[in-house]
Amino acid sequence: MASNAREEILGQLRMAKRQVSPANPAVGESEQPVKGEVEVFLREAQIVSAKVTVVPGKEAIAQGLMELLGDKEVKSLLVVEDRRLDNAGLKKAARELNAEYISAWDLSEKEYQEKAFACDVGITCCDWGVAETASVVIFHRVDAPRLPSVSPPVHIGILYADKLLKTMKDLSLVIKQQEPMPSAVTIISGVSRTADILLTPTLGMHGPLEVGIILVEEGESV
Amino acid sequence: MIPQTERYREMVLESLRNERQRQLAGRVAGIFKFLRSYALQSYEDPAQVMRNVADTRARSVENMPELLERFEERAAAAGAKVYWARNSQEANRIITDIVTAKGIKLAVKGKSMVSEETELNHVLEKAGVEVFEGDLGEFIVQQLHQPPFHIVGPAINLSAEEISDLFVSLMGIEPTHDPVALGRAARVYLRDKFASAGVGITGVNVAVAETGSICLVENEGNIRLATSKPRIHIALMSIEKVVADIGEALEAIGLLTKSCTGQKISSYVSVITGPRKDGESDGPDELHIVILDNGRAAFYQDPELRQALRCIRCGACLGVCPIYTRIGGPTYGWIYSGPMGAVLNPLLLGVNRCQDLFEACTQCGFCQEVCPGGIKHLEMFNRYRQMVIHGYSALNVRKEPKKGTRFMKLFAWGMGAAWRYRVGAKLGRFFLKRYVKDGKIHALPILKGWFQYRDLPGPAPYTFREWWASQESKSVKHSAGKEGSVTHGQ
Amino acid sequence: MGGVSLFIPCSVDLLLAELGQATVKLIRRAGQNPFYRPEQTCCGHPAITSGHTDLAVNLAKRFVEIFEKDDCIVCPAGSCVYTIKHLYPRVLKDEPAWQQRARALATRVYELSEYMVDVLGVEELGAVFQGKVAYHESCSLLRHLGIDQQPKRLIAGVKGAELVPLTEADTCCGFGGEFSLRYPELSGAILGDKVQNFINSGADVLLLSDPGCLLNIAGYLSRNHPEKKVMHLAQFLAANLREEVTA
Repeated sequence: MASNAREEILGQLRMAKRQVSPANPAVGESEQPVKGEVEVFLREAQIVSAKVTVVPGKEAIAQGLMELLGDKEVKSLLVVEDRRLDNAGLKKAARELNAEYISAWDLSEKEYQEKAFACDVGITCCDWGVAETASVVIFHRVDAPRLPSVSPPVHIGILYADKLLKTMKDLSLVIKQQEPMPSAVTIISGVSRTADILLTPTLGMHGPLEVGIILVEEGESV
Repeated sequence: MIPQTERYREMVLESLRNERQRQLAGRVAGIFKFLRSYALQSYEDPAQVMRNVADTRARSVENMPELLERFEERAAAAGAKVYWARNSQEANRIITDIVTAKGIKLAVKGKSMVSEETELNHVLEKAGVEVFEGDLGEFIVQQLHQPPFHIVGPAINLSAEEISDLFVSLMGIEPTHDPVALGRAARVYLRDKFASAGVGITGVNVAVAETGSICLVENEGNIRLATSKPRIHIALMSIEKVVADIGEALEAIGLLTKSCTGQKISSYVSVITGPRKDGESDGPDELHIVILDNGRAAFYQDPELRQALRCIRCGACLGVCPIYTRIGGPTYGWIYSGPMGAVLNPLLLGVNRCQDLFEACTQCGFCQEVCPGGIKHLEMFNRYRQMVIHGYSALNVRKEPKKGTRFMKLFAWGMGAAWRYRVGAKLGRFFLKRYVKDGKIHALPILKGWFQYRDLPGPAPYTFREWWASQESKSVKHSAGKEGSVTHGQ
Repeated sequence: MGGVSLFIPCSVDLLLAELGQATVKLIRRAGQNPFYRPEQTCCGHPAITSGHTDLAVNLAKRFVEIFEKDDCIVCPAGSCVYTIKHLYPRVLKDEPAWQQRARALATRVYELSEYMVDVLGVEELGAVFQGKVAYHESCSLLRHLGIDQQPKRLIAGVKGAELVPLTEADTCCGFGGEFSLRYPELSGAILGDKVQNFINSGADVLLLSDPGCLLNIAGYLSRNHPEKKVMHLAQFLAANLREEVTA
């Protein structure tokens, strides 16, 4: 029955008189993604209400975290530990903030998911950034889960500047190079928001109410 | 949503009399119109982007069967299960079977117009599944059982008081008129649902053939939550959503968000390719993609009507339509409103029952000017008008000659020869002159609609051609008249 | 055939002869020789837009036959020029030879302000007007023909006239042909807002370039705001021409 539906639908479509054409000729096979500028990223981040702090290197990531979270009362940080954060001093920063440091990898899946909904801050690395829209991009894999950047009320993303791209088009060139495609790619541009009530723009809805980005100038991200 | 397109005239009068709604429709449209034109300025060459996306959509529609096959192949290779549904019943049954087979009792939903076409929520609820819309506006109108006011902002016509009353009774909060507080209350209430739902059901904004991915665009985060926590993700898409590659997809999405809400990009774009991979700690175990026809393959046969499938549901046309801005969404009688509703509803519901939608149009053309899909709405409306006059069996359109057809035949016949025109003109002007008072005509026994709001000028004592003939013969008498050079007449 | 062949819309011929006269006056003032083919009747626009395209076929062919011998055809109505240039190819799609003839003719058909500014290069005709004017962008000119600069240049060429901004100048006036008859309340609502915007602009007179918009807005003003004025741009220019000093 189901395969009949497929054949019927496709059959009807194929029967029609059409102008079938090859793939979009405009896209060059050899186009390379272009790097983005930090100043553009900073300017756009203000528009989408993402707070950005620029730090010189990995050793200053903890300081960046203190800058972003220092004025808040946070009880727990859920950290997606990653080679890019090795020796970044996040555990020490957590102590200074009087917050519980929770590594996602220390938990069972069930516990991790519960914590993702219960913690105050989710801290993740970001694989790419897009300057024109102040986006950070996460390729979700085994070592990069989805929830810590969406369910906590605060999301802190760490992005190395050498991964900053100029435009969305450049991002699409990067994505095209992925083989296989990650199970999910999330493009995050600022905080969650809505204007569904009286067209009143409101920052923060179901996703994070606040977004902080630590932009690391030097150092190659892995 | 049960179509009420036949009640258009009645609903128009109600809408026009509702001062608050009228003002709101105008204000809303004005805001969206401004946001769009402001956002487009961020492109170096907005016209080029408009052309690119229109070309992409046109090409995608022409290549649809090949793209759908490729999409299915790649999606399946990534671990998704792909189903095909001819109509609403089949789609609903496929989805309900998946959900009930797993004993799931709670579903969270991302906004999906196609699921409103099929009335999926209703069917799931009858099968014992509680369904919660995650998008704030959709959640509100779902709970109030109201039709959406605008495709992007379904609840923006509701007062803070109405929403507060709803939340008080639903969630037990303290009454408040503060939109932020109301939003926070909804966040708290729905968070539980996201955390415990057995299935997330979404639509699809764009499907990518090259990778078998589905792209989902949102600002609130409800789609991300619905596709990260529940173990099952079901995505419902209609056949026209597919494009060739991720470059086309992201370019179209960038134009969508600018046209829709004036944003360079929405807060979140999720590109999902299959369910979670082995070893991942979140994301669905299963991804089910349902591809729905629901009447589209039928009108796809017609190369001109096919362009309706280029629509990317941005809503830009609503903001610039002089009709929509006075009556708002519900007046269109179904889930698609504004000019896009006037294009789609006749094809999906039947041309005969949607006549007012495409007749009540001044043909100003603003809609087609802002359409990212490059759809020529006026061509579509003209086709529908022709179909009703002559009938059109391919789409089961019944012949219903218009009231004005007899007049139009007489008109065209009269205009077909200069002597008939002159006779008609003499009779017409003689008739009109009898109604002239103080140089104006305030009423006639015909054309009542005109005179409800306007006068007509009393016709000049002569027609232009009479004047021309007289001044021509004068200047033949005087070789160089006051008017200047001798005229050439042939 | 040299000279300027006039296409005077049926609505102008029957109800607005002064607009036709103004068109002639302006073309002569610009140093050209207008002439008028009395066999002309109607471009067929009402038949086409109401879906009676089949009834318009003969009218389209008739127009082509009458005018294709002319080098230059000028018309003071955006909706007619739009019909001839853009709708005739659709109307004649089943007869490729006629369609080709219509397309060839279309390249020589001009809306009046387009003719003045783009063809003749004339922006100043010698009109003088002390006061404020506002300009309503008829849909047929702005969106269907892409004509928006030319009328404004002609207005700028009027000594003393100040063009004031008009809110939502690019929005429809609500006429839409039979729309105004079949959906009068909607039409009236759109029209009422257009007129209110005109009143709010502080302009002494509203100018526009299409007879349909003119009848629509003038009719409403006559009924509701008889002290306010709306004029076709051609009539405004013609009425304010300083008399030429003849040798």
